[in-house]
Amino acid sequence: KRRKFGGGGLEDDELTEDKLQMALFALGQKSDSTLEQNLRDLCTTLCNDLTKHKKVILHILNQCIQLIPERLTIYSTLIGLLNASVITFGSDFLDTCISSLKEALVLYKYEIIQRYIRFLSDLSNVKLLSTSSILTLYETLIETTTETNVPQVRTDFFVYCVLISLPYSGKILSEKHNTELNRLLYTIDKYIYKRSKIHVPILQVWTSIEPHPQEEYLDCLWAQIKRLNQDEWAESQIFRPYYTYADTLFSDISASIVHDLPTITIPLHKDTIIYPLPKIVFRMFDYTDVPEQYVLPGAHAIERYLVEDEISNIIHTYHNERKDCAIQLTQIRPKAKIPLNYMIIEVIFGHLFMLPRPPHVELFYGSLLLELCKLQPSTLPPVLVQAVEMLFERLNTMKTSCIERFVTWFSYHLSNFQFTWGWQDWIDCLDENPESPKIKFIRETFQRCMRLSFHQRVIDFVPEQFYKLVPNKPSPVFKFEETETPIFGSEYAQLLNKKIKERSAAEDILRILNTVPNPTKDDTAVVTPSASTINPSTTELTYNMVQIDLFVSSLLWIGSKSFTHSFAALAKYHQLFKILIESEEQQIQVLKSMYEIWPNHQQMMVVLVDKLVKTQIVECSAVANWIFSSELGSELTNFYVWEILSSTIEKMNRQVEKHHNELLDLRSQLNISTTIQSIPSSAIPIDITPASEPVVTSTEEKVSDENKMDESETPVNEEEKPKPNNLKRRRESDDDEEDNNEEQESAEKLQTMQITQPPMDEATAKLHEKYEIVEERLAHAREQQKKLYLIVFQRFIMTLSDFLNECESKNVDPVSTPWLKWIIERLQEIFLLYHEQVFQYVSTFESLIFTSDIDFCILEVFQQFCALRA
Amino acid sequence: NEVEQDKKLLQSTTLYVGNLSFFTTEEQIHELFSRAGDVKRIIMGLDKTTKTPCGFCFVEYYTRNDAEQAMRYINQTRLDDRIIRTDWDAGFIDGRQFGRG
Repeated sequence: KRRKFGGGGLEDDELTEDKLQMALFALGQKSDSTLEQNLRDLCTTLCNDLTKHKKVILHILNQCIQLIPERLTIYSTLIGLLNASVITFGSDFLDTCISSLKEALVLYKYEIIQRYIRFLSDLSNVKLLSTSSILTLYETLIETTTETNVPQVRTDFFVYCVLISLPYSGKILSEKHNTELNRLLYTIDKYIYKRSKIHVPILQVWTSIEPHPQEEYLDCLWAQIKRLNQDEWAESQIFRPYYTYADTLFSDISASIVHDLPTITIPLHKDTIIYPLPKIVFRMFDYTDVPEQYVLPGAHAIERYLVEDEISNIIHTYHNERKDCAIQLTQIRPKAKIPLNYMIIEVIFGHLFMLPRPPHVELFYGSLLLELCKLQPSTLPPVLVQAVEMLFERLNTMKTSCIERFVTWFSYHLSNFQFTWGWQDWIDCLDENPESPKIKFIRETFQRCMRLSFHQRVIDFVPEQFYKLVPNKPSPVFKFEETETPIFGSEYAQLLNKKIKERSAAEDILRILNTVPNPTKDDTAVVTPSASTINPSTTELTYNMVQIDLFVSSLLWIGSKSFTHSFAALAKYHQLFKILIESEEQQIQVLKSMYEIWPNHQQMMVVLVDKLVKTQIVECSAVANWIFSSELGSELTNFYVWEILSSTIEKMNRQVEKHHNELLDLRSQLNISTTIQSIPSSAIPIDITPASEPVVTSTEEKVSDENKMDESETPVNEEEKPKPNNLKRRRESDDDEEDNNEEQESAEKLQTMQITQPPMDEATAKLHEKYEIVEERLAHAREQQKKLYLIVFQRFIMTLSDFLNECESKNVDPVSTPWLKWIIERLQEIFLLYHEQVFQYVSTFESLIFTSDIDFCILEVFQQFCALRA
Repeated sequence: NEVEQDKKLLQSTTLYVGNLSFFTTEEQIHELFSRAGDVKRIIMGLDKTTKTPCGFCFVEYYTRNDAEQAMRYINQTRLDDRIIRTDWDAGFIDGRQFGRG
């Protein structure tokens, strides 16, 4: 299959869909001089086979427009040539495009919409589309600015579509419809001017506008377009191969038919539609940062935007193939003197630091930078080093989320280069406040480097002056053994250690725990677990805490050799955990005991908490409360704590999502079963079972052999589902109804369905039953989720308020302290990372916790967050 | 049979990881591979006789997507100064952690 078509030429006699696809997708992929000939050849071949393969050809070309935006002008050239050769081609192709665009508009596929608008604009350059109809299209899009009671993000999107297209169409429009174009620009200008900018600070990578302003994306692009307009739409960056074919495309004898666009209507706003979030433009270099032989386009030059856009498109198109991605990036043909490597690095960091999240997984950007270094070993690494130095110098005002991503990437990058770095250059910052961003950055980088290597390796690559920032050796601390005078419980700990090592049964361990004397009582009362769990009195609870501490400490100590050993230990005594631990206070005790063993091993804590939550020994809310507890107070500015919180929140979100998807799945199955009810009933079970079965089995199967790795331990079925009674018990808490509308609606639907479809067969009845169970699980999970966010935000406010009060009493300016930065920016981070979830409950949060009586610096974060969708 | 095997590989969430240093620990592997997604478990390859790591492991993810990201972005990059190699694995079966002694 993979023969011959490297350059886009079709040489075989017989055309197949595969060959066509390959030839068309590869068109212009390699930047060589053969493109001109390729285009002509391809045009000839396609013309010859158009009658035979019309549908396929139209389909593939349409795909190219959707998938390969960085080569759009090459495709518009090809399509223009075809239009000039085959009289019916233009209208056929336009029909295909327009129906795709209309579909994208209805489904709000934003990226696809943008690509079509821009592509159609370029078709006016190859005389396929009339300039007047492009203008009409723009006017339709700009019409949205006159809508009332719609969010700004909606209008922004449609205005943005016009702005990104103008570099392609501006010249031809100004030549033919100057007055109308100016009227359009005037309307845009008015719109841009009156937009609200409350959302800007929360999205900025730096809190300072020095040395570069972090401009809002529409503001910046509008400034660039205005400049382009002043320059009479002259730009030199867009690659326009169509000018090469002037004789075919533009001569008087050209057969091209110029078409008009049909009327395109913009679907009306609905409150359920979620529009793209606004963005800011990331800039870290200006012309003084690049070597003299280069000229970096200024911030408001359209070339800056066009090159950035091409880089972004290539990254997006090739993100699954990091090597191809790197190759394509280095093949960009920038206008002479544009420092391509600087711009590539700037765009990559811009994506990596993008808030709320990078467009792709962070690891991708790291691996792409490695490929680029490999591809251009002498030219790219120096630019990257310069970039790191600049980012380091600007750490003081860099957002915490971005500092964390910087640390994570930098440690990874170093680990691929033997941890070689000029640390000495950073020696000056060592006298700074230990909580200052630079010190924190170095400290956290060392942590991550250690996690990718080992403690001694870090000692070896770090200059002596930096030793104080090197993390402690990540060894366990067993308090029952450490102290010279044995502390209370030591002898029991020793006994427990022995028994756990011997892999004694859970009952034996429990028996030992029950012989521990109760320090708060004189007599040695034996506490039955059931008594303590059902209605624990204060003394029993305290006593129970001692038991839990002894048990957890001993267990983790014995399992301290590796993750696997720890996990196996937890799995082996899972049942015992379930007996000993019920209340949140008890769950928090587990976390405290864990912290006491592993204060020096952050990664271990991260994975242990993950395991404890996944195996449902500890609930998400307990983790949140523990993180903000006084025991962890001094750790709160360290990054791993937030790693734990994020991973906990994500597990909660995933749980909700899982149930939600199950429910959607069941819903569609039920619809199927109701619509096919008229079909002979024997067909129904066959239709239903295969689809529903895997859902049930897969989750249970997967679980079974986890932790089998250490062959000496018995695996326990972990990650078991909450038992029904568990579910009931935990459901009582929150009775706020507003978010359950969707479920109620579906329940109502279901009921009507049940009424209107009387004779249900057994399989359908089972599905309905399952539906109800999943529905209840989802409702429960939603409540838990909401509760978790409530706890997190409440604890943030408490912690921040305490700090502000303390500052006031000590007469300290809180803004001058690094602490406030670290914590308030974590609050911002939680809002941003989980904006989709938080927005579901935003009115509850507004009325319950983000009220006007809290400090403005906290409330401000909430308001900026709300503005993201305004 | 081969078709069955291919099918398994296409759905697999488990990677075989080779060319590890004998001293590379589960912790280090976890640190790197968790950057591609939530790691379900890591099974260290052990020498049959000494029961010590012998240069390979299996990494299992919860989702196919996460495993694919690891394949895309970790294969041929360095861990512990060695270029490691990742490959799809049809799924770990107990006993396979033992390399040849």
